[in-house]
Amino acid sequence: MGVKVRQKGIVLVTVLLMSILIAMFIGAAILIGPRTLGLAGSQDGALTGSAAAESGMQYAIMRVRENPDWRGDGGGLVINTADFKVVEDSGYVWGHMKAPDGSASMFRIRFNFENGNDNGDSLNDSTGPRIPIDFVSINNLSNSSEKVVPRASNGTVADPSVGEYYVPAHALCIIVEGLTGPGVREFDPGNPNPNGLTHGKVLEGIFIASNLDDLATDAVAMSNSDLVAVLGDKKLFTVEAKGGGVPKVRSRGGVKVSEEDGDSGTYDSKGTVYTKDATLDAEYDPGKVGVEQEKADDPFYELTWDDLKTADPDGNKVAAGTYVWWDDGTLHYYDMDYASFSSHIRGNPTDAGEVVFSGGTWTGGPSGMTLPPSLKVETKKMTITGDLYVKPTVAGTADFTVIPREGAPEEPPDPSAAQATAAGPALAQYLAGNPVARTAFFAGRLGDGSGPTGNEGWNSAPESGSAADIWWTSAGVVSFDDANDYSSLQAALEDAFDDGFVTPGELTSTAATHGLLGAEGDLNLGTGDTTTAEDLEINFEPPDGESATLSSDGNIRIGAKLKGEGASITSQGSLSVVGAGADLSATANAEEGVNMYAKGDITLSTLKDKGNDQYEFKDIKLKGLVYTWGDFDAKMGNDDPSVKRGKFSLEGTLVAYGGDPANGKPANTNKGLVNIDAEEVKLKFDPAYLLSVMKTLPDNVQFKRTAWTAYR
Amino acid sequence: MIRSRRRVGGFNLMELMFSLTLIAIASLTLVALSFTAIASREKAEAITDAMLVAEEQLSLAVHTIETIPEASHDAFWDASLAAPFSEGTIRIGDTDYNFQVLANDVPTGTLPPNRLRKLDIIVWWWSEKPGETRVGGGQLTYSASRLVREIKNDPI
Repeated sequence: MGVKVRQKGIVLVTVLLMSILIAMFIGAAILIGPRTLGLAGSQDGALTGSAAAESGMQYAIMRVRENPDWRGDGGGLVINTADFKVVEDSGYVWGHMKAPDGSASMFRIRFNFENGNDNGDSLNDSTGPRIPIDFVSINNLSNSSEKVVPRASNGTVADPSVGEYYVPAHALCIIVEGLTGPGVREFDPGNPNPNGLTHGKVLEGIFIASNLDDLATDAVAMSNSDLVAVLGDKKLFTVEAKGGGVPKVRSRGGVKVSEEDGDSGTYDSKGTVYTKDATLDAEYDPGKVGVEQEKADDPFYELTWDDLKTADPDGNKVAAGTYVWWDDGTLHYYDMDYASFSSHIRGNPTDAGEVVFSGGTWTGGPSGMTLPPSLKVETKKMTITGDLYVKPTVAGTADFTVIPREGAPEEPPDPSAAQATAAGPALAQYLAGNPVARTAFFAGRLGDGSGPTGNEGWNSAPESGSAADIWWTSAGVVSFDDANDYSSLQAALEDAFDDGFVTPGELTSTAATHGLLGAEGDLNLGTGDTTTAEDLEINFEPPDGESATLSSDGNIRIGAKLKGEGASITSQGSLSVVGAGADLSATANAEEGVNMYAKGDITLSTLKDKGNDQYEFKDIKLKGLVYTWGDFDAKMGNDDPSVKRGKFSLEGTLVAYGGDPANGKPANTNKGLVNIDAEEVKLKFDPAYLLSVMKTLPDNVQFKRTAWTAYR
Repeated sequence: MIRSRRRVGGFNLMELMFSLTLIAIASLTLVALSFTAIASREKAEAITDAMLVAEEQLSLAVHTIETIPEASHDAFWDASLAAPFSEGTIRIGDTDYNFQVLANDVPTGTLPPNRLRKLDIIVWWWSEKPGETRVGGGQLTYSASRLVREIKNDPI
């Protein structure tokens, strides 16, 4: 009995066991099914997140090519289509993409350090939405030195100088977070961060801009006409290239280095000099310096006005005109171009114009001139913190001039006894470059009759030594061996004047007629004011890593100490800076990071008026691009040996194109002269400065990926 | 004894019937769930394969557009966007995966050669055209997007 009862229960036990087993199967099936799909979803997250991150990388590089200074500061919803939206705000970028099936993905990029305004990131702290990731991207494209890549902690980069690694000079470090999942299904541009669960990937790429050398055709100096340097006794003309490349100097005319006493100067560098006739008029070691012929079809670096980054006419503006500082610290405004002003003020030396600054305060004068946010004025000092456009006035004034009341002479004044001597070269230079004035000057004049019969040639042949460069075939008909050979023509004219072609009195009066006597920029009003360019300052102080550009439709004349980093001055006329530089022996690190671009000539003078008719030229160490459609003239020394000469140093690129680069190579060598009169000359090629003045990145500049990291 | 035997046998029959019913229900549930699990696994595999197809075709498209040969690059940026950039079918196992890559301009305001386009890929299977559903299988389409930049030989 007992056994049978036990046997009956075994069926129930077996059934229950089987039920448990079946329940386990069912449970497993229920668990495994969704997990299999979940695994697929997870793979989708990785792939879609990665694609989103790579898309963000593409977007960022596209923006950098468009604007080399880009840091995610486009100012709101910059792209708005049905399936792709991008918000850029204060150094943050959100991109939201929808695939055809409606699935969504997002990329996010952060540039803002959120550590106070302009503290290593060139950005102000954001007042809008932020991206809560620790990875920050760095745009180091315009910077010539490496930069730390920091990480944020608790939303901020406490110390921008602390990081595990660096982004090289002229490179980008772009870190993009790619996201997918339910949290990015919808996108609100006003609140662009995900709302819900997300998964994805973080990718980092470091990209170095390459082909920069090609950009500037690898030459530190390019002159369409001659390149002439006059140095101090036994001083050197040196050229080098950043990174150890072969430094080059290119001229479609000649290259001549001499010393102030007339002896041949020394070109002391390894590298190559290209000239029109493959000669170098200087002392040099042929084992170090190669001299080759400049090929007719080799282009110079062509930076057109349209390619240039200029101040926006609709942005911050200052009225065009002449701003004059008086001894009492008042600033006087005249609605006149400099030429009109100098003529007017010589006749009316006490005219006070419109006082726009007095008592240490900007008053704006009777017309109520206002100061733009990017311009700060203090007594005898102007500070430019951002782009500034010189707005032409209703009266038609387009120039921008800042000078002391007595003017800012580019050279020490000539003693009156020396005026006749100075008139020859000045007039020769003027006539050589002005065919109309030249024709008028020679009309009706005869040669000296020294030439062959029927050819009253003036034996003026300083270049060739055999054939005359100027001759007269009959009264009033003058011919030139090569009217487009600017320097040869100038030398021949000087030679003719030296030989007494016109009397000293006539030479002086003619030169005076053309305004060629006396130092350029010297008003000499006799007001008793003693303020000089040395007492005035124009400082460019853009936020760290950013640039400040002063742009004018007319000429720019600055008679003040020019200081700055990341500064650019662009002029549709000529550009003259008097008072730049410093005594490098006293302040060895004084450097001026100033790019200069002018459609006209660029003149740079470092003359310092020491008082009591004592003068000296300061040194200057320029870092940047100097680009002129006309001539470049660095006045840092003169014929007077008692006036201390200044040293000229340029790290960047110097181009005297000689015409509008948009039209290609100039037809002749009339313009594009480089003239440097200094104690010594040091040129260092660094094409990277071009990046800071370009509106967009040239097509031939490519990005080489040097690092690629996936963080999750 | 006889009465006792009958009581035991009847109980066993009831017990057996109850057990068989329970087993039948459980077995049918198990079979149904098995089919569901198999379908889920197949769909998961199909989606995974579709993702691989999408990734491969997008990468191929980006590579072709961004790098070499030059003619392919130029052809893409000169082409009308009405036609698909690429389309085709790839068989993985017993399944045919149809795909189509479409390109759209992104209005960045930049000029050639610095334009941006959005590539969209649609992959579909077990159906004639994208967007169709299958009873028990749901949506039989996978799609993804990626941006591509115009400049040549400047890949990320």
